[in-house]
Amino acid sequence: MSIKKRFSIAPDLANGFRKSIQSASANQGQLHYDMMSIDVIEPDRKNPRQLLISVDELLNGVNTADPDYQVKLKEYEALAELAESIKRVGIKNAIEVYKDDTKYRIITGERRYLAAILAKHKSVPVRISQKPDEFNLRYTQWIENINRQDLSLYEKFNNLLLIADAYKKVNQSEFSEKALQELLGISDIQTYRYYSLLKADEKIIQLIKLRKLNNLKIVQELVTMKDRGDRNQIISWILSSKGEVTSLTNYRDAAGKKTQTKSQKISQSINLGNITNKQIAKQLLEIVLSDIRLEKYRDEFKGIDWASPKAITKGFKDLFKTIEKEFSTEEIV
Amino acid sequence: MRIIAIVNNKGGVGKTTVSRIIAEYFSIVKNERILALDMDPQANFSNRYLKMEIDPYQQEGRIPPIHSSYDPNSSEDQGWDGRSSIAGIFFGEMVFPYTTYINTLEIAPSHSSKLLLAEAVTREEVIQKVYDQLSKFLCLDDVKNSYDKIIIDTPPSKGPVTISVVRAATDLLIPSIMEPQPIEGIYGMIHLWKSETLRRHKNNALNLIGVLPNSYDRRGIIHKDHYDSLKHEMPDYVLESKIGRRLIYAEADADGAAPPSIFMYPDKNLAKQEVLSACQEIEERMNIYVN
Repeated sequence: MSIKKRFSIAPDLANGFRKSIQSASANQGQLHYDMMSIDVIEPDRKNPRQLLISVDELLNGVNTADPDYQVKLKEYEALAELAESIKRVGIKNAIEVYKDDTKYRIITGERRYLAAILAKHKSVPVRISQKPDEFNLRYTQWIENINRQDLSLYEKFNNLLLIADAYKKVNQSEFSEKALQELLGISDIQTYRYYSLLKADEKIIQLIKLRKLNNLKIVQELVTMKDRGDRNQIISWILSSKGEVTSLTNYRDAAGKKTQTKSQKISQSINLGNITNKQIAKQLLEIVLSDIRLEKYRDEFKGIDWASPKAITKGFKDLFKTIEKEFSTEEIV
Repeated sequence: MRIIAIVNNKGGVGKTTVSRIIAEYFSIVKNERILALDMDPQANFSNRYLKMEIDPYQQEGRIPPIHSSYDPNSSEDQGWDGRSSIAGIFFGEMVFPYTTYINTLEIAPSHSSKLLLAEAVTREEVIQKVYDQLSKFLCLDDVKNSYDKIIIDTPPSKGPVTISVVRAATDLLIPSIMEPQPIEGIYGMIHLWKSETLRRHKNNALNLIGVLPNSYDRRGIIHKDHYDSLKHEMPDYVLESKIGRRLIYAEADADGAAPPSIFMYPDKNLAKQEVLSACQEIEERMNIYVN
């Protein structure tokens, strides 16, 4: 009997069709790249990572009388280094922008944009995204910014604040610790610390803004400190410090507030000294037990092994317990 | 204005036949203003409506005939050789569409050597320019205001000219024969569609009308099985209509054919019913998808 022939598309081709269609359907508009004139691009003024240095200062220099001169100088040096790299190899990662009226506003890549201006490039590679909602914009900027080693705690605070505000508007509920952890994908302790940062009061934020406090752990300790008096003293101390405070050890040393550990606690026990002569130990026990008030307990101490120092020590411990239980302070005396 | 590109990088699957069917459906049956573009150096689409001439400099190539509006004595036409092709967009030349025997159908014909030249570019900056040229041409007010639809026949390739068509298109149709090798060609086009979809803004998406089975033979099992298999993998993108393997399509293609269009046959003609059904399904799929 002949077998009827059947035909079908090759499995790998079938797989190719399926995957291509799924990918196209799920990612429409995700790879909209172009080369764009620098003139139509503008930074996002609300980006928490926004550099202090302006385009004008970048091209014409920073005024030495500017209170942020040192910060801007550092920014310029970093951008100049990036500009040199761009001159050699170009911009490798497109700047992400969205259309805002007649301009394109930067979502991520402000440093690349400014460095391209320094490198005298007239156009830059861009990835054109849909205008994100406020929440996704701030979240994207957090992801872009967070791994920068030079990102200050104040910049992180501002970014988190914007995320929390946007979250509240979108979800009609407070930005909880759980939401923070889910969004950022961080550990429990990091979540606790960042959440504490969000709850920090004006005094602590002021310290962070002045770059006197850049340590998230210390911020968390201050925010959660129960003793308000102590907290305020620490804040005043940090405020009066010359530079950045990286540890509270100096404060505690200066204030004579060494933290007591368990091992340093003052013991209430009385040490009656040591004795090595087992015979004297036996006689001492017998003398104490000879007190008529302890007659009923004499049998309990008959089984002590007088050859073992350990057994003798235990015997005396049990004797003292018995005496303290039996007699009040007034009675014993 | 909708721009329908008929694509498949496998040759011989019926792109030109389907391009002609669609152009004539919208111009004759729907009475819409249609511009047909022939981007294939083989110039078969152009040959259907114009008497294409042999290129004196490239014997196997075709060039458009002298344009009916050409006046060698007019100062306006000084410096023009009287011929115009869609290939001119790649060389900074003006494009003057030709009229056809159908009132509402005009064609910007092929020019074999110029299209082959555009297809052969290798320098990156030139390739990028080729990619964007057709979009720029079709965005001109003169074009947008003059036509309801543009129907584009493409070469059997995935080169710069085809990509320029895909970039300009609003809708993509993939004719294919339900056999293994042509179906491989479908995969290449799906991939092109995917790349373009990822690249474009959501508001300007490229509608994949789908795969139109052509030269479909109902007698054997191979076409049915491949059709069913393809439909299983891409249920939303394989048309229900099929254009059968019929001599009448080749007859309508012949010089001096009477009637000249399948849509001028009697309504009871099976081939006419078949193509009407296919075109109506294509139109439905386009209307569902409106940017």
